[in-house]
Amino acid sequence: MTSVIILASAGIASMFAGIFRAKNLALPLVLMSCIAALALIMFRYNGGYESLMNNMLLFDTLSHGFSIIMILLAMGVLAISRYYYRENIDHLSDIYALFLFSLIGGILSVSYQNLVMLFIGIEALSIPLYILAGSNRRNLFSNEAGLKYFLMGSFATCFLLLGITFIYGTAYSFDMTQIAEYVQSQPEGLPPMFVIGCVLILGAFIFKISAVPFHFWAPDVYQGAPTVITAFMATVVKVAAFGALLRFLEQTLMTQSGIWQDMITIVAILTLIVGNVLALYQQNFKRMLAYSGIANAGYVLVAICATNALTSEYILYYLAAYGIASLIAFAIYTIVKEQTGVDSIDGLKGLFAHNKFLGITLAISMLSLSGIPPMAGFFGKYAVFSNAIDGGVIWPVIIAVLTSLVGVYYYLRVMAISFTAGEMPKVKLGTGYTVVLLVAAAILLLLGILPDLFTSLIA
Amino acid sequence: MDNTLSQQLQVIPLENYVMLSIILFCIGVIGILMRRNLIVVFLSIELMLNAINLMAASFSAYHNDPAGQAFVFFIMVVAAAEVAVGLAMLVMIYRNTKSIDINALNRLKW
Repeated sequence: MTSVIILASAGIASMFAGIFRAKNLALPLVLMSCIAALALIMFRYNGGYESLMNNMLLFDTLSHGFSIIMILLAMGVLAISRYYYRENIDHLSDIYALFLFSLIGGILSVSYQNLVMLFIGIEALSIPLYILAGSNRRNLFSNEAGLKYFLMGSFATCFLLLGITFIYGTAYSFDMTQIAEYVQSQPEGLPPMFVIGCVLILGAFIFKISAVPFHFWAPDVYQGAPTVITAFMATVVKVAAFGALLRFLEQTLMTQSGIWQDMITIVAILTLIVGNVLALYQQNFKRMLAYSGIANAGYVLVAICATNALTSEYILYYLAAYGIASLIAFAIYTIVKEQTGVDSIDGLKGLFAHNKFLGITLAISMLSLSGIPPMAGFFGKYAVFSNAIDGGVIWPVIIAVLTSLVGVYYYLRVMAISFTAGEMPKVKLGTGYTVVLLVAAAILLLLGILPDLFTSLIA
Repeated sequence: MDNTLSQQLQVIPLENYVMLSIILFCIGVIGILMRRNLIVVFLSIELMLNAINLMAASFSAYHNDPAGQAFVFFIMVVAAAEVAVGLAMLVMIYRNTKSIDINALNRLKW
């Protein structure tokens, strides 16, 4: 909780820095608060449970794990935003404050123990993002992305709320432990209203993780929003939404898998097929990454189908690998787009020949995303699939393996094009980019070579 | 003595409240899907949220459990924040396109 308070006060301080014309202080302040929050969570890690506000929030090992990954990814995004916002734009300190507020929403939505807190967390995660997606005020694409995200997001929130109210109407509590007790006290079947409530909540989650059939907003919003915001949405927000979904299923519906398992399985299969196949046709790099995000949501959903005691660790590992690899891809896209104006995949020709470091890190990222050893993405996929087979989920895994072969094609195409000869000016990297790319690539390699390192940290 | 507010409310059966809320919610959904004017779309979102508020309050009154009414306040606060963001976005879009028609924004397509 202290970490949340630190992040919130740093956000408010950052807004004040804008008022007092000390904009340059905002980024160091925000980064420092992230480091402090990270240190506090690390310090408490495995240090037992912290239950707060009448058991509305519960910080346990799982929520600490998700929070650490979210804060790390957010720090990466903040570090690359320094160059993106190099021109003296208005409201820079407000933008950083909104990043932090959204991050707080993410932390709350993976630590909730009460459905009211889930709602507050999801909204605190989303509302700053609506503003951030439309933060490039003069650009019509950004306006459209912001509005689309706002309308779709509010629509999904209404269904989340309707689901929560239905569950309240049958179980008479918002508390997850009491709902779980209610579920167990109904062995002969739950009332239809409760089941409809669960389905509505799952629908809202499917929207938030941008899985098929509610994925259509993601490519548009990702393409239109400023790139740094897109990187934040594709990494931090996705981790938060999966954390919240996993918590909901683990804590309330574990014993009643009949309600959700079929639904999640169908959604997973559709997501895998649609995400991977549509990604093949994309020429715009950012849009391809959006579809890659949809496809990756499918792999995680396959793991969720087979939820057992170990799954959450594997999901965390998979999301960490996906988030870091995507962060590298977005960082490279940002810097190349800003300095050379290239935003199509074909425009990456000659990247390796003229920018060795960028070429190598892009290759590491793409290899990890496509799941080729020794990168972290391979072990993530391996753990997820083998765990799903242990859990008796066979068909979704077969489809996931087949579609990940499709994935190999479009990821490696990016890599192959960046290695071909072509003209590209030398891209100047600032300190922020060098550090982020170096650290992220090192983590991907390290997690890939020593996957036990991560599981030993979690367990 | 036992003529409390929640008992007065319970004169009307719970099903009626739930049906009314669901009808209001559906009107909101239809409004979002059919109308092209952004202000009407925002109004429809508010209608959906208020339908949920009504349902939560009626569940709360029928089971003498205050949690549902507290939830209504949470929804109101968050809805106010959300609509503030939405209206700001509307003004921004009006300045750029001189229109508040949803179809004015269709540049991003697959």
